[in-house]
Amino acid sequence: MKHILYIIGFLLSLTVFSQEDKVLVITDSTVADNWMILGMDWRFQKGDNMLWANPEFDDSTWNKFSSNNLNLLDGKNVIADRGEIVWLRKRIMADQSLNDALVLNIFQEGASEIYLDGKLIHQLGTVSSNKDEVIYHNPFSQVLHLPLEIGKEQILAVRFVNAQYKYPIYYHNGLIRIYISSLRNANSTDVVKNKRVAFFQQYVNSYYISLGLAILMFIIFLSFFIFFPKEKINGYFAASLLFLILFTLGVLSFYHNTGTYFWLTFYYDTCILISSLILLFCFYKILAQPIDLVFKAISFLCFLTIGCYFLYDPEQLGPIWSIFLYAGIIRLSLKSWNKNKVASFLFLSSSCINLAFWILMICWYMGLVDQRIDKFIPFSFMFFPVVLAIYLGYAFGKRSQDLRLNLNRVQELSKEKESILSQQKNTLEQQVKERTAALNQSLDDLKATQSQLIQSEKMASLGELTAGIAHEIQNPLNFVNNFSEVNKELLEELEEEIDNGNYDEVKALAKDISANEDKIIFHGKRADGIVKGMLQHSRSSTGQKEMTDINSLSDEYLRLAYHGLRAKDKSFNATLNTDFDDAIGKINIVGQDIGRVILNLITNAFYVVKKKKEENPNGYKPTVSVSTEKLGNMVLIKVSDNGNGVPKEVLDKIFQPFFTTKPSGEGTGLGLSLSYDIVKVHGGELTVDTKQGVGTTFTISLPMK
Amino acid sequence: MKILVVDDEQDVKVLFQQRFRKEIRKEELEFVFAFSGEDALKIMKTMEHEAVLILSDINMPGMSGLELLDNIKKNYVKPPPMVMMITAYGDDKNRTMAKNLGADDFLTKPLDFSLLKDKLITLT
Repeated sequence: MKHILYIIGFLLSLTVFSQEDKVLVITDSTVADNWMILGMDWRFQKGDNMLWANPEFDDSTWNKFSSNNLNLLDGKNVIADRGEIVWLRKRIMADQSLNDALVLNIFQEGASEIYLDGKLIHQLGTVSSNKDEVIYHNPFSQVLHLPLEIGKEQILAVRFVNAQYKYPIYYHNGLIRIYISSLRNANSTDVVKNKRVAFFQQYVNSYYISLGLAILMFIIFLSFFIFFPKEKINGYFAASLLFLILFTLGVLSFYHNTGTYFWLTFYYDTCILISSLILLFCFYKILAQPIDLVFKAISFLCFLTIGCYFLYDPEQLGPIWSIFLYAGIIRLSLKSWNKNKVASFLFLSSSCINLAFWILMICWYMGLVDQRIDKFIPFSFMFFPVVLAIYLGYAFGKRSQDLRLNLNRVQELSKEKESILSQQKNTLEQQVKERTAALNQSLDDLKATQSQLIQSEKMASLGELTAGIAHEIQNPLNFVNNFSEVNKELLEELEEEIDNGNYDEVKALAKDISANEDKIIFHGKRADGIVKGMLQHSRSSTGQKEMTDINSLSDEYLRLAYHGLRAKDKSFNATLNTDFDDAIGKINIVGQDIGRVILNLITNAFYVVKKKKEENPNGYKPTVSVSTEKLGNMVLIKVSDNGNGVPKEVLDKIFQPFFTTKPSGEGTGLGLSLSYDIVKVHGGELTVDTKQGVGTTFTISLPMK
Repeated sequence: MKILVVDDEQDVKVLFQQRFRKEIRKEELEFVFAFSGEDALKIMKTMEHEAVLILSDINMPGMSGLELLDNIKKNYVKPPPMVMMITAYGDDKNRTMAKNLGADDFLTKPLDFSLLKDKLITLT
């Protein structure tokens, strides 16, 4: 009976066990070199009751299921919706063969508590039915100890709360995957066997390497830009690198702080997008292509995909805009092939490689490729910047080389030019010497000619005066001769009267003789003065200034000129007006020269009034006036006539050499020109004021000192 | 014979008076002096037909000897006085003009009084 009871009991127990879930027996071989996902034979119950952690709790009424994602039923339906709590339970047992500690690795979007036989062994975030108290945590990089007892069936219970994300709106799946492995395998660096930890670590390390590289390049190109802002491409590239750095920091942050899943991915994907677009812009600039519609379209589509993050799974969108970019760069490179072969080749080849990589990535996402290639993702982001940096380095080197060549060329040219300049300088110096000698010769010739001209003009004016001088000299000579003859006669008479003893008559005769002698002496001196004046006029000017009575000089030349003209033409008569300022006294001038100027002006004045008289015999009274005036530190000598005036069209020519309005043979055309020069040499001015039909006034202004 | 001497040189008067002192003393010749053409015309008005001979310099300020000659020859026609002009050497142009205006004779400066005396004697 007892045996019967034992048999019944055994059968019953078999019946009970047959109704219970399978116990997962963890053997050493299943976890020694592998991370095994705990996806089979789970029971779940929505709701929350802390007693559900208890191993004695009967969960037979709970739903059974198997899924890698423990929040997904049948591969499509979510068990716990956003913010909902679900309990998961599973029977597990460590096999005798196990000779290492067991560890868990959990990937979750939400928060959970892990219980083993009712005991809380891991709190991953904060689970609460109050949504505000829930703290999300994804411990996917952690190795969690699982203290299973060998040979004992134990209950593994998970209290899981689904993430309460606002974005993306499509996303309802809470996610929780639980992996199990041996501690030895979890500590292994073998990325194939220990893909949950070692692979992750390798992945993160790759990002750190990329970050370091990006920061280094950023510093280098930013420095290039700061110290040489004209090379804007370095600035653009540095900006691209900055966003790449921000992207990498975002990714690394994601792997260390897993609470803000959506916003973090949104942030770093936006960063990499901006970085890539700036990079594309750099390619446009390097390949000297204008920003075209394709660039704008790519930019628009890329930002559109970012905008879609709110609506769709970002994991699927990243590669799409990457393909846009690479396609854009390939097109650009092909278009610019003839312009810049090196850059085009570099960008084209790197784009093709990158494009191939991302196509493979898409295949991997779609499950068409088994090999994990996502480990290359951190480097794929660095690919273009590195290529661009290489190209910029190449361009910089090439430019430096070109500059050096140019510099050498410039130096050579400089030397050549120096040599040429030196030769030219010598030639020029020689030419200057020759020209200077020639000019000096010309100057000497000119001086001689001028001197001759002055002399000619002087002789010409002397000719003008000859008649006047003749008249002037004949009068005193007349007296000298005749008074001498008279005296001779008187002396004869005197002798007769002495003989006659008529002494009264003798006295009278002697008195007359004496008076006549006085006259002879007077007129002799007068003739002498005239001759001296004539000689003085014809002699070359000494150029020596001396104190001269300008009034006396003016008067003398007025008289000479008038008599000169009258001697030639007795019919001519003119009114002479003089108005001399006695306050002038003597001034320091070259008397001969200024006298010549005055004479010239007066002669001209007589000439014009004479002409006008010939034209208008009746009613016109020729008048020539000479006046002097002291005006401040200046002396003004004015010679005026009431002739016809100087015609406007010749007014600006009258001081030019050889210009004359007189008929041929009557004037040299040098009078006014020489006069002008003489006055200038004295530091004065010779000006003319004329009015048609009324007359002309020439004014000589001379400084007193 | 009354002779009018016209010259702007004052000493001419003394010279004539001394050169012809004997003739003046004997009253063979009588000299009247004018020191400009204008003076000469005034004197002419007061002693019309008295002066039979006028001796005039050409080159004088104001009215020249030629103008005086012209004036006399035009205004004193019955009988016209004789006018002798005193000209300078080489002054051919004035000489020609004087001749055209009716000058009766010419003397050149410096005056040759012997020649003048002969001419006057011939006239008297």
